[in-house]
Amino acid sequence: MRPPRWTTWLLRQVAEPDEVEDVLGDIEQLYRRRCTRRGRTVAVVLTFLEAVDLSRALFLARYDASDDETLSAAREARPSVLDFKLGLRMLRRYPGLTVVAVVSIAFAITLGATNLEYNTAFLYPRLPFAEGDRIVELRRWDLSDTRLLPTTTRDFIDWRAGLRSVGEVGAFRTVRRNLIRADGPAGSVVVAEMTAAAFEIARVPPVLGRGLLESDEVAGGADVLVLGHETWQTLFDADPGVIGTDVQVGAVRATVVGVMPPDFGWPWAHDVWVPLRLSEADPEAEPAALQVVARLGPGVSLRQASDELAAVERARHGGGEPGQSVRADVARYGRLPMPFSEAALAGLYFGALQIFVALMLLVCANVMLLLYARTSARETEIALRAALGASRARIVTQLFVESLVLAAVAATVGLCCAQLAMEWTAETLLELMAETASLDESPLPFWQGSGLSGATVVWAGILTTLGAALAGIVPALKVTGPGLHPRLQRAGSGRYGLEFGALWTAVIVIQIAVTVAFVPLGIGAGMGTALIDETPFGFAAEEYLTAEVSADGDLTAIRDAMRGASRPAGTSLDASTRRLADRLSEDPTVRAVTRLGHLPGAPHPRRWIEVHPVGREPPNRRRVQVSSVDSNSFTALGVSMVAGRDFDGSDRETGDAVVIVNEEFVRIVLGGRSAIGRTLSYTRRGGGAAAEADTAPRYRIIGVVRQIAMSTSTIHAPVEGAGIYHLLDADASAPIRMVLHTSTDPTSYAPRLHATSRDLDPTLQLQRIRPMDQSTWALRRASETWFTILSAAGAVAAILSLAGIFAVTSFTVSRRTRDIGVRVALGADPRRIVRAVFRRALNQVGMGIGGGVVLLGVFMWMYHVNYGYRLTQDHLGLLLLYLAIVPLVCLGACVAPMTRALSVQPAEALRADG
Amino acid sequence: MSTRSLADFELLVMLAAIRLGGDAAYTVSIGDEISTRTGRPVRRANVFTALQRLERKGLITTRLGERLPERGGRPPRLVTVTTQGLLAVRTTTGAIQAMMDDLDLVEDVG
Repeated sequence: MRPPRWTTWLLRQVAEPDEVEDVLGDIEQLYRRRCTRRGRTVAVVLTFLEAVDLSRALFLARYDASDDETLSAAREARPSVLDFKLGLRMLRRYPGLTVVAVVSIAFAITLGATNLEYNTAFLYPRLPFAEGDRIVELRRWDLSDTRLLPTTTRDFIDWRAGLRSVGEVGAFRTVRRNLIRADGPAGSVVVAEMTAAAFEIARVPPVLGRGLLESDEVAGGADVLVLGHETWQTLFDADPGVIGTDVQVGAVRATVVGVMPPDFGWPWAHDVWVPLRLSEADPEAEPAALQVVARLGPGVSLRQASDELAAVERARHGGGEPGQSVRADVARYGRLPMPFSEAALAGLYFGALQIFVALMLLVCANVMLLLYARTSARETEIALRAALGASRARIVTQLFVESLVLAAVAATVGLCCAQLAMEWTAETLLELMAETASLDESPLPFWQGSGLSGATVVWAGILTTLGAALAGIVPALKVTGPGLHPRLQRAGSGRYGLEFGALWTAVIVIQIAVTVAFVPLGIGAGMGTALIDETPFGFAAEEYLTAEVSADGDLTAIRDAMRGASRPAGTSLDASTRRLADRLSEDPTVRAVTRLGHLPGAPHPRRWIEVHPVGREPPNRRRVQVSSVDSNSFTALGVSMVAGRDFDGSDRETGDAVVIVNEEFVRIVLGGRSAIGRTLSYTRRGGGAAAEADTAPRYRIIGVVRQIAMSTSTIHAPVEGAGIYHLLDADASAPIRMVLHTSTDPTSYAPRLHATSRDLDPTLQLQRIRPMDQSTWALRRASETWFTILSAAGAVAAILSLAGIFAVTSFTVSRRTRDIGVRVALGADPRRIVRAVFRRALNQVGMGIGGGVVLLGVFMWMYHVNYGYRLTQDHLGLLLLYLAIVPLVCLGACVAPMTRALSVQPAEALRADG
Repeated sequence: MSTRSLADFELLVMLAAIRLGGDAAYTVSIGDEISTRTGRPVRRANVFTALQRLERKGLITTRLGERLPERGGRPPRLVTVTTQGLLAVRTTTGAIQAMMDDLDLVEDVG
């Protein structure tokens, strides 16, 4: 139970070194008490306010005690309390503006801060250690299917001996064990078996005893362990005399030699550390994969370290490449595993950052528009203040403070919402990752809390302040500019000189364009969710029970499996699951049993293929879905073949490269032509070189199966149902999906499935046992999340656009009351007056829609390139309907000002003119 | 040596510290004590800065206590009132008492 990270970060920044522990202790004590008494959400909000108050007090204490001349000058120049009071009064006086501004800024901050937090966490993780950004991981990639290869003991030993650009090189692996005290409670803990060098990389000293030492790694030495703070508190009641205690860790009896400080879970989310004892004499004997970590040497870049690792790999493979598609690299530790270059990752990160900045700019521009309208309405007051001697700087400061107060209120609301959004997304993420990954350790590392980091809060604060400056100072400078005195003279006669210029037109046009582009994306995501709900399985999916089967509870083995390592022959997952299938099929209540690589309706891998042309056919490349099935799968699912034949036992024995395609494949890829006997191969996007195409394995199509569901949609867009089925490989990577057709309710069979599996092979792990029609759950949840985000973005953009249009037209009407009065007095046609007044709004709406269509076109092109999305006739019809409605809604915002314009009484308008 | 007198909030902090004693008086407990006894909400920031001010004036001294689990294993900074601090409390309360002598507040307010 820790207070939000950014509160502690904030206090660390302002407190003197000797005050830090004291202040953080206070905050933690109060936070825990509030959590217990008033719940977590209230505790987070109150702790935030407390931390801000305490930071302010600490800062002012240092600030007032300082003799620095710059600070003295700043003390003289700071705005008065009255300015802030006036700012608060303005919030009450213009409630409409306050609500629109607060909602929009708060939304921008919520979205931006959450986005930034996760991007930073996954791409530039901030390990809470000294020079944590210099900690790296050494990895090998198989680029052919973008997966990490397992790192063996041999790899580790060779890398450690060969690398000079990194300092300490260490290795670890993760296991889950029971930790049992002789005279106390027991618990399941995540254990890091790690080398002393890997432990040292964190450079964090224990609070009690010692850490792991090299001498602990010697085979046959005393077994020792280091406890995490939480484990020490929960299982040992924070006993200060714990050092030297003997405990049972799994099958090993070990002595506690140290306790680590709070919030330390290096390298991921570990509770306990034990020495890793590798068989250096026989490295090939090591069964499980390692993770290798290191610290970059002084002045060494990631690129240099990667180059050196590549050279070491070449040397290990006799001067050649380790394999055509294998690449070793050095990446920042904790980063989401992606085989991208640093430049590509930086592009990704700064792209996300730019979205945040662009969103804030857009929102601030809108608030600026509204503030400008408000400032214009106060032109007389400002001019009078100037006449009474207020300097331009003083007036600008006051107007800036007013916008700052507005932005600060919005930012506070936004940060609280962002905190809640972080908790929501972390929960959703954990749920989704638990659904899609086989690891039973935390998917989030120890340094990634569910709260906002201090850096994000500061970043949001800076942007808010800049936004407030932009929204407050620009209108203020414009109003207090050189034309102030002539306007002061006109103010006396009720005339005004301010106008909305090209800048404001651009702001409104951009907002309309964003509304036009975002709303269809939101609708698209919603349609995607509906599509997932209505997945046409093509067979009675609800009659089948499914289970994901992997082997061995050991996390490292599971991770190996995830990375594609196969188990030794005879004990392979393939053999074990086949035996399980055979045993289950003996049960008379089981009608059929089969195994699948992916469940119908659940996400499938998508790969580019090339169907080899026959005669003068042009090369045919397409992205299709890929799955693997057993030789009896289609029969078990009750799905018939449309043409050709099903897989049979001989296909596996002969090892022929044969595939079956579905009906959509024939329709979309082959244009309805016969598929039987055609050959295809996998290729890169857009196709490889001719030579490469020749060397790639060729697969012969032996049959066409009736269409059953593969993925119907990604979270972004619907996907085509064209698919290929391979025969399930004997080296299949975990997990394999076991599918049972029972004569009873499938859910009621789950306990028997568990029991049969346990009897047959206790190392088999069965997860996510459920009826097959629930296989779309994870995708649906992800799609819903995406829909929520896009819809909220579209709704806020729409509110902003309409508020902007309303502000401009209202402003125009109020400025032109006299003109309208004169025209009405002279007998002008009301339609001409409406046209004259609203010509500008019409132009803006027209330009906005044009820009939005272009933007939408760009998005759709990106969807096409990345997800293979194609605009269907139905979608086009909906889009045109939407584009027809947008101008009507936009012009709806003009109705109130228009009514006001037409009700202007000539006599009153001319009387006001004096 | 002239004895300092204390401001309103400083006096409350000093009295709370005296009540709690040197082994239990620190920012959170002092704030709690004042809230409980006076019924007024107390901002920890004010307690913190008041303690800093009082320490600068030499009216209290501070030291780190034992690590407490409810503080995430962090030690509180315990407050001890110095002799000079006790004198300041006595002077301030004496002044208040002197000003209140012979005043019938109930009658005056009524």
